[in-house]
Amino acid sequence: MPLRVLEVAFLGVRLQLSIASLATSTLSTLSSSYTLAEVAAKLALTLVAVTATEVALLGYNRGRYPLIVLALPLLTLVYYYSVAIPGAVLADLILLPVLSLALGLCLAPSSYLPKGPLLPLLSLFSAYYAITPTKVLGLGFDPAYRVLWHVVLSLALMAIGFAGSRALRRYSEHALSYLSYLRIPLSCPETLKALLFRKSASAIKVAKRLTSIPKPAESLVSVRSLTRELTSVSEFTERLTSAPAELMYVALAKIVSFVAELEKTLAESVRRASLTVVAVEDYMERSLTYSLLLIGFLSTVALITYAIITALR
Amino acid sequence: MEWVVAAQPILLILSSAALPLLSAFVRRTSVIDLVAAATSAISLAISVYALVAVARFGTLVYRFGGFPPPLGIVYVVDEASATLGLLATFSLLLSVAYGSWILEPASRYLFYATAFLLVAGCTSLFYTADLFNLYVSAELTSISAYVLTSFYRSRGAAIRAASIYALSASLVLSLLLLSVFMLYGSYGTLNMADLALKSRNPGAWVPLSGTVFGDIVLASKVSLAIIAWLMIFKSAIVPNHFWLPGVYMEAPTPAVALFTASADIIGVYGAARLLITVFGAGTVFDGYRRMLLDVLLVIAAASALISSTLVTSQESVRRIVAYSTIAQYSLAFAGVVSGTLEGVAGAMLHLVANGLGDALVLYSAGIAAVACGRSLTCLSYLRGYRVAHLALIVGFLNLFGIIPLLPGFWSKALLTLAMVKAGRPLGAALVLAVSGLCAIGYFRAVASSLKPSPMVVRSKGYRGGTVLPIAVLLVLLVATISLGVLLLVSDSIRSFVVEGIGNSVEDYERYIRLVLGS
Amino acid sequence: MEYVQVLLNSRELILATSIALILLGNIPAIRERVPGYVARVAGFLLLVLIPGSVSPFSRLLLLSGVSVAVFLTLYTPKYSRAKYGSPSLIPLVDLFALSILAVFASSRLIELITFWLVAELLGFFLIAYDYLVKADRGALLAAVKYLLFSMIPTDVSLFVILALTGFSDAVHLQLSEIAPDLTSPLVTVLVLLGFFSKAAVFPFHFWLPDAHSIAPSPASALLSGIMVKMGIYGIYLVESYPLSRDTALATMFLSSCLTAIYGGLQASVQSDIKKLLAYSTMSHTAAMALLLSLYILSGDSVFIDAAAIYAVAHVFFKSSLFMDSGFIEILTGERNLGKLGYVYLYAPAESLVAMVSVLSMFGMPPAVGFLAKVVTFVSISYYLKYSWLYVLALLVISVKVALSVVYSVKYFRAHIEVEVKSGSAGLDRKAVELIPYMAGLVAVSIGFTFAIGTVYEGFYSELKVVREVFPVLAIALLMFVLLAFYLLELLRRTRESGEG
Repeated sequence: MPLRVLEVAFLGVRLQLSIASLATSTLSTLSSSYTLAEVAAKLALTLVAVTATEVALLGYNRGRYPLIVLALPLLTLVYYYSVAIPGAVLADLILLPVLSLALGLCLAPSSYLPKGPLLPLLSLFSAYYAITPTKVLGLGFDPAYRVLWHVVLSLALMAIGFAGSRALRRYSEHALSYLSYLRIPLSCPETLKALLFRKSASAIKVAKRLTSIPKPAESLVSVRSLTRELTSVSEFTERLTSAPAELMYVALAKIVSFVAELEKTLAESVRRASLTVVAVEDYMERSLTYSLLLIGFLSTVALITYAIITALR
Repeated sequence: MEWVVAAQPILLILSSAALPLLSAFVRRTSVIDLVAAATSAISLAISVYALVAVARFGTLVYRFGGFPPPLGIVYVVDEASATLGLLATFSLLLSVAYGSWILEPASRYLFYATAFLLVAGCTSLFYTADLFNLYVSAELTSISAYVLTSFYRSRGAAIRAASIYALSASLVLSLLLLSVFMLYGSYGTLNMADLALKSRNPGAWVPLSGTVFGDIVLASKVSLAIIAWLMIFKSAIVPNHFWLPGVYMEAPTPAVALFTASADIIGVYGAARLLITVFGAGTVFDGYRRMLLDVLLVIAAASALISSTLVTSQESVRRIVAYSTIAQYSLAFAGVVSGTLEGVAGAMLHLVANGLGDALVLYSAGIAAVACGRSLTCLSYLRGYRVAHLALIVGFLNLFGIIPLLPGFWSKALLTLAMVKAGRPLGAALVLAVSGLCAIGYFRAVASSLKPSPMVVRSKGYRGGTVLPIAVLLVLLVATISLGVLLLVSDSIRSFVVEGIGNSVEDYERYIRLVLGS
Repeated sequence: MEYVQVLLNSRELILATSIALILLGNIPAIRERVPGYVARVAGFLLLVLIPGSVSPFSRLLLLSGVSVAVFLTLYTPKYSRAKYGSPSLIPLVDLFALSILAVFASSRLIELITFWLVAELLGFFLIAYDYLVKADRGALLAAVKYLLFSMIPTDVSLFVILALTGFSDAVHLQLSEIAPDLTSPLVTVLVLLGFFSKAAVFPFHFWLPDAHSIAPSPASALLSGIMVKMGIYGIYLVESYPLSRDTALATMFLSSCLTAIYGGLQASVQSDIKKLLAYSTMSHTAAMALLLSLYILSGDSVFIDAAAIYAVAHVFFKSSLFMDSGFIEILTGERNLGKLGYVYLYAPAESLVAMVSVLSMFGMPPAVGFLAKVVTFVSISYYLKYSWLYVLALLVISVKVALSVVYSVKYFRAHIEVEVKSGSAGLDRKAVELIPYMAGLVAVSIGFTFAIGTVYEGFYSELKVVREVFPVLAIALLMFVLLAFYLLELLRRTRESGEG
């Protein structure tokens, strides 16, 4: 089945990225190369992006997709900051846990893919493994033990991420359901009303919908049931992705689309100007001719009068 | 051999007189056509000789009757005059050839006679160094232009256009006559070099004309204003452009093509000669002159913008050419008054490029007009005529000035350079914006010519021979493309244009020396 | 032998031969048959041999452009026949590609300007193509907008540079030898705005969505793929001339930040696949302009390398995505995302090819996009500690990347959506003939990563990151090849089971 081909493709790509990321991080630790550490970070971020795509198109927990997309800029920034600042600094106490939590929420394998947890866990580990090379290098460990410390540090962060994400699971689902209310009214009062008076009931309803997605083993049972399930979720995810984008778009587009309006106004005013000029032309043609004639006639009369007067003098 | 150059206007006038006489005795129009063609070919040869001689030996000076200036009339053929003279006579030959195809046999001699008078007036104007002779030549040119406009005298619109042109132009030219009188009354001379000398050095003494008579400052200021106004009228710059669209719509095709290369360029030339050479830098009223030039620059810029927006929405090729010509002349005028060498050179080259481009467009559209009609959709009739279609496209590309293989690109580049050198980079943007806006109209026409159209299918078509117009178009194509290529590859041609033509106008000392000194 | 060497060294001769071959390949008798194809492909490949290119930047753009042109010239005949029923699109597309490539291969200012203006002209007629053959007024309007807001400002830049260089210098000296004086802030802004209009960066950005979505797909592939890079190339050129650096930095930084985000946002809400791709182009070129502005800030040429490799990556994935959109157009006759989603059922191979392009944009090794992302982020993060501007740039680029995930997913919904189309009525199966060309282009884009390594070895030894990353690329390539083979096997089995 064509769907199967695409699934395998995504799986293969994620595997490739995970292995590449692991290899690069290890190489970086072994050869003390900061450049390779940054490359590893890039690979891990690409892995997150590919996971988002896969989840949106084929995955079974599509609620995760908007979360990953919204988290991606934050992940990028924090990744590059942590990679750019080697060794342990005070900021790490905040940045690293935040990063671990975010990664956990995005990539943690619960109710994820039907093929068993090996690949997701590998991906997750490679993402954590890519955060830490510069930390390890900066801490100045003995070359022989660097990789070991690297693995230990990554596992520690992964544990934080895993545990934290489980703890925050409920809250994240609530957050997602609140996000859904942003869509309905673009005007404030409605949102407020919805949030204040209807949140509990609907939040529970939505949360129930999310948790009622079939468990991994049964997911490929029938295309039809899958279709039904995904259709109901796809509308919802469609709204989730477009809502924040739409809000931001409305704000920015007002500023920037002024230029497009300007261009339309320009074309319209050019057209009107040309019509006006044609009308003025016609008018000028007639009036100028007549007025020139008049001036000519009057000046001729004046000259003749002057000549006669001077002659009589 | 300078007398050859002086013979040119005389030859043309004599032929113009001879042709009606000839037509009374000779029944076969092909004889008339041949005589006309021969005459225009001879005058073209003279112009070519003049240009080559100027390029190799320097400016030619001829005194009529041997009388020394400022008593006698002097013809001064420098780079600018020779170039424009060549353009006018080249255009004459082509319009004679095209006219012998498109016009009715019975009235062709009238066309030829009037066209010869027109070009006689033009070349005389380009060569002359006497102000009154300039006025007379301008009058001769204008009168011939009025007559050519009303060629199709059974059409009311043609008569109307010609009347408006005649009335308004005569009036403005009369003002020129007034200013000539004022200048004579104050300077005591009508020779342009003499005027150039005395406007800078009022105490100078020249044999036969002495020193100045009276107060030259007031007279010069008033005359400058009148001259400026006249030149704006003659180059059809907004607000004095109202006569041109009517004329370009109603005159026969070869006449319009001739106008764009002769009668309508005398305004820009006159402005260059009178405002830059004669009453140019260093005169006693220089402050006033600079202010006048600034005002003229603003007028020219506004005119270019307004007319280029008008190009975008026209529905017939003639009107596109009309408004585009107004826009291009405005740009050339702006180049002249920008006060730089490159501006003047660019303006002259722009006139040449515009003349060639307009001719290409008009002559090829003329074939479509004969078969189908004047609207833009009829242009797709040209799809059956490869050469004409190519000529149309090349003509428009030349007018747009976008291909370095065509002269339009180089004139635009020179004008841009002039604006940048004059410290007005926004002027450079204006030049390009104007050509871009015009291009909308050009490309609409080209797109119409490429699209198959039902109107063409329904039209009556043209079953006659088209050898002559195609030959004309081929000659034009070769001329345009070779000029462009020469400008691209040859440093010496480019320096001829920039330094040669530019200095011939800017270097007033050389002008004075050549005319009065020898 | 020496004579041959001299001949091969003559740029004009190579260019003339190339033009001759391409025109030969367009003779109506052989245009759609093998000899025509061979002639045209040979014509384009010959351009690679042009010696003495100005800089690695132009060389990279030339090489990637040639790859795209080769596959497009194979793709266009079938597309033209299927959509318009006539092959008149082919010579236009070929000449357009040729003129753009000649711009990158130019060594003198007058050559650059000539080919640039010719390319713009041909671009106008390609955008208005639907007006010429189907009397679609929207196409004419889009073309007029392009003329007013892209051609005119660029002409201003080119003519001002020509004027300031002087005509004889423009004709005789190399691009690297001329030095037009652009130090006046007004002139700097004027010239930069002109190139912005070509690259569709604020404020002259709004012509692009209409123009690129209305033009026929091969033309859009060229317009978005390599023509907008001409604007970036122009900005790169003026950066090496005397400029007013503060004005240039402010203008470029502000405009590119705005456009990058605006383009990404607009792309996320489009439902027409070609408009989506057009807005995405806007976002990417803004990112390239941002990198070039960081070069002005830091003076480090690594940002130029980043912009160059980014441009190359964009050339490949944008062209192949536009070719893909053309494929979808022919297959389904539909461009609206709401009505698509079943392409993977009928042409899973094409969905895979499109996926590789999208993944290249995300930065999957061994595609060129990976190298682009690596060099970009490495160079920015190195400078993070020097100024908050780099932090802002990193923020803008990361938001842009997030938005690119959103609109890529959206684009991909044209291929994969869970509603299944009942029956195959209205599907033009001949479209599958187009797939090998797109697959070929994507394969070349994978191989190109290694070519960049060789180009840079010679020129920049400071670009160490390319050398360090090589082992990773090798591993990734190996895995990618294995995966590709496995997927091909699966595809074959799918087709058999589907037809069985």
